[in-house]
Amino acid sequence: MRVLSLLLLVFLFGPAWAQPPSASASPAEHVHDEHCEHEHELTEEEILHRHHQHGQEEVEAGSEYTSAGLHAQVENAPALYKFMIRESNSEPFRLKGQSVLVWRDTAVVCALNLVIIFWFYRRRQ
Amino acid sequence: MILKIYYLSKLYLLEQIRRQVHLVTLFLAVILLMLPAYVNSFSLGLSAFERVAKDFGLTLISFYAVAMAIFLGVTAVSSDLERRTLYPLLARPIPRWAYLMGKFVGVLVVLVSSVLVLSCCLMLSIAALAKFADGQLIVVALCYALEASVLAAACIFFSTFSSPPLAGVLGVFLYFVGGLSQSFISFFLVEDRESPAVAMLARGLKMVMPHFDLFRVKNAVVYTLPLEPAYLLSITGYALAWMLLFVLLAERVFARKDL
Amino acid sequence: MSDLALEVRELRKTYKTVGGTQEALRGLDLSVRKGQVYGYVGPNGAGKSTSIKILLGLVRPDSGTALVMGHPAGSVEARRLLGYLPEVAVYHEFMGAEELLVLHAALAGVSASDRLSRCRTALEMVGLGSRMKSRIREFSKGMKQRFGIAQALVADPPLLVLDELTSGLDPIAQLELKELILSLKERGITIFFSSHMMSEVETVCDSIGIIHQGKLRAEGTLQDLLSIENRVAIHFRGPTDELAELNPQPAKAGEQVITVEQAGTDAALDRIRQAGGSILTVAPAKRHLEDVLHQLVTAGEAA
Ligand SMILES: Nc1ncnc2c1ncn2[C@@H]1O[C@H](COP(=O)(O)OP(=O)(O)OP(=O)(O)O)[C@@H](O)[C@H]1O
Ligand SMILES: [Mg+2]
Repeated sequence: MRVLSLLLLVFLFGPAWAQPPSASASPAEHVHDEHCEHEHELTEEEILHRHHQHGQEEVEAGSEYTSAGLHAQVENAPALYKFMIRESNSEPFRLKGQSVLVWRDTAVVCALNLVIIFWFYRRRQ
Repeated sequence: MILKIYYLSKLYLLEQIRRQVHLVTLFLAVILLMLPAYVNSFSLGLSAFERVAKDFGLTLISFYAVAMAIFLGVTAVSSDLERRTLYPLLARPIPRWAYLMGKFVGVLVVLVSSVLVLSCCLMLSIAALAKFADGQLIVVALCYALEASVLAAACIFFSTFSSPPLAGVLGVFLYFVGGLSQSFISFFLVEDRESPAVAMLARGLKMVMPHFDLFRVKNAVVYTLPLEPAYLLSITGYALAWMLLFVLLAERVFARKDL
Repeated sequence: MSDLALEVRELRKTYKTVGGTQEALRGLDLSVRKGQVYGYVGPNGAGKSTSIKILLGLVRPDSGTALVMGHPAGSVEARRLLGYLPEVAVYHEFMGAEELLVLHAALAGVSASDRLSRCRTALEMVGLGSRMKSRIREFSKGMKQRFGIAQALVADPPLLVLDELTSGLDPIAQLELKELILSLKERGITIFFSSHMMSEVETVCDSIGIIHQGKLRAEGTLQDLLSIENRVAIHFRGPTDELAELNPQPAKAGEQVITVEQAGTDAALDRIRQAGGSILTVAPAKRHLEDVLHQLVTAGEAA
């Protein structure tokens, strides 16, 4: 049993070791850096736009699995799909300043908890 | 009392380990560690790889956490009930709420620890290629663990008054409806489908359910955006409040139950 | 504080079932004094387990009161003073015996320093000393039952409530158990147990309660219940017609038995000899608990 699982591990990791991370010298790396620099003053449009660029560059670099490919399909995609793409780009902005709302909801749930605890003690007496 | 809760969780954890639940986690961890191997096989650029890997890895972790939460939540109490291992335990001088709390803490530990392990694996495998360890990955994964824990508490509650399969279905329902985001409802149900009635229903149901969508902050890390600590703190508080609510509700039902 | 370990008054419980309701207890009264060994007997479905579960707070009664060592049944204080053996012996089967017992001891509030030694003695007492490390799932049914007894004993409680104590135990284990019960009794521990083994109940119990259809039908010492007056049973072989006035009953294989007052033994023996019968045995007349139970149950069903 133990030997088997060890073998399985070696088998699974084999490819990872056999192919050392040479890909780190990818031409798309600089995009990542640029990404970090601007991360604070992004707007939704910018992100969408950059996303697009991002993808474009990768297409040029020979990559197929990119968001650019997805964007190209957006026009005639099913609604759920369209939504997912839009959603994934807007989510970080939704989160901004939302904590107040969350605290409000938390307070409501806590109040409910207190009601139940009160009920619990009333019952015991 | 805290000590007794600790012993109950310990009993639960020992049993789960003997049942080899952790092997599932280990299996997934191996898949996540192998991610770099896909770079060449799919000929991805590094930046795309990073994004895809984060996206894929986090999605995998979230599905795993949810599936585990439902499974563990539903079985935690009901397996004790069905096998009647509950009797000798409840004959001990512990109140029923402590028993439930012990189980829940056990489930919580399983969920959080396995999500931690998985997210560390993901971070490692990305760091192996990108030469940059993104600690935010772990934060995001822990948000998923929070989500899963709330769901597990809900499933424990459901399992106190319904059979395990029904409790599982209720859990899945809660997860999907409670997880609908406001924008999904307005975009998909109102704008696109033009079915405001369904949207109303979804909004109404969602209002009384935990808002699971709040915990899904994956895009922040996929697109390397900052996460506000205030927001993280607020969802933690929110999750704790819901967990407590579900455990208390479960106690109320469980206390009246003939075993 | 009263000297009653268990005090049950007018306990009623009706279960909701698929087809309607099932009355399990219909005004049960019980009193078990401290230090007693109390045997709780009754046919299947009489309500023994239901009443025991009420004592533990596992089932809530519809009405009536139940006190355990002076505390309301089911309260944490009551359970602290009580060791329980469930009817169905199922424990966390992936756990090792000693390991699980240590956790049980911890939950029962045994101090950390005593736990291990307490568990070891408990396991040794029930004859599992050599299997302490085995997992519960590797145990046979009887071993699980033994583990259950150890689990009830582990916190050294002043009251033991044991449901179907001897189920699954081999004759030697039953004998050992009798000794164990008697030694526990000597230490002043109250033992309340249900059993279908009448011989065991007869030999160890100070007091016996017979429950049928959710009500206590008879309660008292063995002597009270069996009402052994000074009667003698004479087994003999021979003619019955001439002895009709002694009312002989057929016993096994052509034998006859008559029961007479002790004072009339000699006269009866003479009569049998005169009629040409041969005496086989002369012994004190004995009723068995089974007979009492049978009588009560048939009377209860006729009513
Ligand atoms: N969970 C339950 N739901 C419905 N009815 C029940 C339940 N448990 C017991 N009963 C009913 O209550 C009655 C008493 O059952 P109980 O288990 O107390 O009997 P018992 O005296 O322990 O019998 P046995 O000697 O077979 O163990 C029975 O008629 C049974 O059908
Ligand atoms: Mg029974």
